[in-house]
Amino acid sequence: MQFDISNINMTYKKKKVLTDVSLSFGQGESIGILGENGTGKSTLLSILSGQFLPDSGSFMMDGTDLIKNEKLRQNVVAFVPQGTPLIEELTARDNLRLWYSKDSMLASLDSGFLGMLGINSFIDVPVHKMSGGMKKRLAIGCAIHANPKVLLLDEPTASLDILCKERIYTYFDYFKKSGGTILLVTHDEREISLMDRCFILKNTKFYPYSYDGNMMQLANNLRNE
Amino acid sequence: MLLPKIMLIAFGFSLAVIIACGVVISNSSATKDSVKFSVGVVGTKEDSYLGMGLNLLKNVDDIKNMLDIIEFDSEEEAKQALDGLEISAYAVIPPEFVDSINYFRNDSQIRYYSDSGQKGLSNVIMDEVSTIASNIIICAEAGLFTLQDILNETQIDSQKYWEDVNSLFMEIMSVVIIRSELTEIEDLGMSLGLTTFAYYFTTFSLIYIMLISFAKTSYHIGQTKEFERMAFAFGINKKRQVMSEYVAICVGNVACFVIFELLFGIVFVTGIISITEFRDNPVGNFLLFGLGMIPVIMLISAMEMFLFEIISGLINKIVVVFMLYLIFTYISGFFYPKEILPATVRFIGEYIPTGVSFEYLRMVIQKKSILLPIIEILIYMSIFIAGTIWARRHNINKGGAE
Repeated sequence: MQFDISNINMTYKKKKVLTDVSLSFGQGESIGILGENGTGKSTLLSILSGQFLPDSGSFMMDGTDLIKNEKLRQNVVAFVPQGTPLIEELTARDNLRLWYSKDSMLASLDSGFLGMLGINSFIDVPVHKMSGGMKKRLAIGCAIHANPKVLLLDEPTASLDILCKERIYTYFDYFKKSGGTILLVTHDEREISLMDRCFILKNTKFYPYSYDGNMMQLANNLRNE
Repeated sequence: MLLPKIMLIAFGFSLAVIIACGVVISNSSATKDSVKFSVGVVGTKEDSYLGMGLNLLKNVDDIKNMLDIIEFDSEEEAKQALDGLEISAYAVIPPEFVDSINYFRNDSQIRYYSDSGQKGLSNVIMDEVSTIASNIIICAEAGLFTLQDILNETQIDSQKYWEDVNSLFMEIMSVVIIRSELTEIEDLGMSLGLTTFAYYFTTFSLIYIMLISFAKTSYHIGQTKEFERMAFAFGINKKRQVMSEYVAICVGNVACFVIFELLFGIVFVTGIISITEFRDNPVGNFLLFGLGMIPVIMLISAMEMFLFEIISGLINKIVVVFMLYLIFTYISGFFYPKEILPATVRFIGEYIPTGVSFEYLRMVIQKKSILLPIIEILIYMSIFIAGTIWARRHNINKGGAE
């Protein structure tokens, strides 16, 4: 299964945000998207997840444009936004039931991705009583209800402690091994190092970037000109 | 998890509203006991006929529904009661008053004192009292005294016929003071075309269904923009999101109202509160009112959803919505009949959602055509739902270019 993002252009409130953004990836890859705040990283994920329509460009999967084919995109692409896409007053179980049928939820909790995320341990806890790590795991659990091939994550481990981060990274590894692809917006050094490939979004354009552990060099590269 | 909490709040809030409703109704200025004016009378004990006349005013004549006559031993006591707002006015009957009547003189008058606030109304009442006193009681009494005088002048011992004279007086009274028996007095206490009980039952039902929205505050607050964005990414577009939430809010509000209706029904069945308009078929009309509330609940739910969508921030949501509800209910005449409001405010009050809802329920209670108010309700409902969809689109897109 091959994915091709081609020449995505986007203008938001009369401001050019993305210019000819292109990227190709296959199954089981992990791709990090880096960039300064406000450079259009989240906008790119919003386009790929179908929230915004680009001015031009395509997101092809084996010859089918996922931007135009809404039904297929909903089954193939999952999006976890930056904040908490959960209903605070509901428990983990109730939040999951908004997305899953009862049987598929129980099956996934028993031996699937939900079980892997460790959601069983806080299944009856209301969201407002959860830690940040629990919320993020639950958010990912909700997002992957349709067994997606591509997981889009917007700063998934921001403000989480190391143990929570490691648990989520373990899940990323599991997801990749099962054939999933991860596209992740991040500012986290550890996350960057875990990605197979990284791209920097700068001056509305996409540039490949190979991280060698030098943060100063990365910071210099990130700056808009 | 959320629903039981909402139901529990609805139960407690229903009890509170029903108790408040009962208190308001029992103390309503529209009920017959509390529109009575208290008038003091000084100097009635010297004359038995005058005393009897006042007794008839207190217990037999129609004016008993408007006037409480309280007898005082001295003018000083009456003045203190007037100063203490226990009475609205007092009348002093001078000792020579009865003699002046007995001897066909007009040189003694009843003196009447009222406080400034009650002057106009109490003068009207006093006119009524004077009319009764002069035209009926005093004329009759003067006639009887004349009869006694004639008997005395003709050397017939009037004491021998005293019992007959008394019974003649009572016969005259029973003939002239029969107005209470000509009509049956019904306490309607009309407010905006409804009886007092129906009026307060309607307004409290509306206030309840508006304020119960705060039981869902945690839901309105807890639902994040990220949730809406994720739902949108999975193909649940803004219209579907808003409509599904609207159905949930509506069902929640209906469930809350059922609790209110059940508790109110218990009060209603026990007869603590009775509604004149429901008298021909109490249970049927009560249930009909409950069914009639559904379009109103649909409107209030749409308004609730819209307001909580467009207002951002926890404190703002609660304070602004509450203030808006308070203003809406006030100018639509939910607390007091809106006749007390200026014409412009009254006009606005009639056409805002709360006013339209009240008008619709009034038609339901009076079994009149609900076509016009139901159209108004549907228009408002559509505006609120469309406004929520617009606001949701704005909220989802607000993520911007980050």
